[in-house]
Amino acid sequence: MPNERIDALFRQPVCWLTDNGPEDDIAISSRIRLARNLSGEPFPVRSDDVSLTAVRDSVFGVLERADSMKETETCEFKVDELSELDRRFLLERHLISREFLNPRRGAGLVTNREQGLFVMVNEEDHLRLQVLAPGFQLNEIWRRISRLDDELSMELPFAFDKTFGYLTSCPTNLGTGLRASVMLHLPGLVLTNQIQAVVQGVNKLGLAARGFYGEGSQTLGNLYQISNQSTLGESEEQIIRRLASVIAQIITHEKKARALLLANRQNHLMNHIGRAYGLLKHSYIISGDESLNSLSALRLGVDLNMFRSVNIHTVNELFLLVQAAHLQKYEGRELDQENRDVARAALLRKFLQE
Amino acid sequence: MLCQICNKNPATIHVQEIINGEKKVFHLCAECAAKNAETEPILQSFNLAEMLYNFTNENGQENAGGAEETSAAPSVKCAACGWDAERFRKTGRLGCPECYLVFSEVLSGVLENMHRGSTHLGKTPRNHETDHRTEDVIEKVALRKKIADCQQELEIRIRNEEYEEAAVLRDRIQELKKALEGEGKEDVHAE
Repeated sequence: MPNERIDALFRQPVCWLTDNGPEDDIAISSRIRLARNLSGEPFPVRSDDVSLTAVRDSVFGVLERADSMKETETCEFKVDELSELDRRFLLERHLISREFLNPRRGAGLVTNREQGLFVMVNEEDHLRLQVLAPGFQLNEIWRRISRLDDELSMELPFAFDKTFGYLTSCPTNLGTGLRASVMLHLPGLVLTNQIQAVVQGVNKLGLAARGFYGEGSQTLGNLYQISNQSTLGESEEQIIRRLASVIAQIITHEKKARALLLANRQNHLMNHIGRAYGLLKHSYIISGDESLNSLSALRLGVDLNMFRSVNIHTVNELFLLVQAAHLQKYEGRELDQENRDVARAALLRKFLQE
Repeated sequence: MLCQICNKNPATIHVQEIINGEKKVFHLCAECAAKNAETEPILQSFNLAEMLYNFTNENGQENAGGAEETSAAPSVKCAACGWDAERFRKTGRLGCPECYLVFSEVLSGVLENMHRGSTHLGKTPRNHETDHRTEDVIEKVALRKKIADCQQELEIRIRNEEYEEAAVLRDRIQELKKALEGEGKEDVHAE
């Protein structure tokens, strides 16, 4: 049974892909999440269906009244009542985590229509507040999510301790409960074989570099998500400042790498991009991974003004549409893998038609 | 590449372990990895919780009298939610906010390493009123820690036949124990 609100969300443009943001040729999006729990309630891992459902009801109620959420229409989802395809669709939009693909009773999501401000309910923690925006703008989104956090903390008794800060189910999130990350598109550093050094450097600084879907995922399409690891012993502003300074440096290195490639290996670079474009434009069967990797090259070509007929928003939209659940939503029916590869190729040909 | 265990599904999880230059590689599908996570040591080594626990063990053994602490740890149980050290070790997660006080000794060594300090320096909830009961419990844990430290020093003093210092420490321990009991009684009355 199709879920009308999921289908409405599918038709709604995603703000972090359609709007412009600072440094958005390299920084795709910035995200911050805050982990919060209710005092006097066991964490979801120790809770039961009845309590979790009650927590979801009360959090949904408070979110409906929160001023930050009221700026636009919001959508609520009982994630445990959604189909597998709909859950996968939400994952591809980065609105839910992998853990929510197999949700327990009481799993919930509330998002604003632009999908830039949303809350997961009863994931690892009772609440995971999240903000997502285009480009590199951590300070702006910190103010935004901190405001929502303040509004909620007026109505919900958050589990908090003077020494330990916000109490989270996993001690790795203790204190601020804050995880900030920026999704970077780094084809220049990959093509100049510098990416390993960057990832190692990032790790040495106590930050994490992850793939496209966050924790445990492989890198696809030269996309790297850089985030803070530690959440205790520093203020939110300190954590963000430390992360932002490293990201600013990576962006500078990526720009240098691209300039270097243009100066010294222009033919190789154009060949790499041109072949990827050909593949996307002329395939009749293409896998999701191959599409994402080729779209990465195409995006680089657009950044370097190689194409007049393709713009960055088309490429961004395609990054989403070629993924399995989005593709099936676009087609309006469920497809097995073989048929998805055919449908994906047709979609790419259509979007890249001159 | 197919999963090494079932030889059916494609391998999506690749674990590499290098010990003394000897490399072991595992290629598994998600299903087999999940099934074998509890029995296969190489997969366990990637469990954060296991790392946490091993780490605490090592710390305990470095201290004289640490063995006692380590053997005592698994019996710790949260009175509020019933979560115990074994579950904490297996999942890496705590059961409820109260668990942070119950497991504070296990956590104290780990947090410094995991984070950039062990004290919260960030924001405070808008409606937050200081939770006195919570502060009491923190104080109690601190007292217990002090008693353990004194007892450790006492043993060393006695071993070195420094009896005058040992006598001072014995008195100090008595004082601390009284303070701890006093706190406990107050708690009983309060509840």
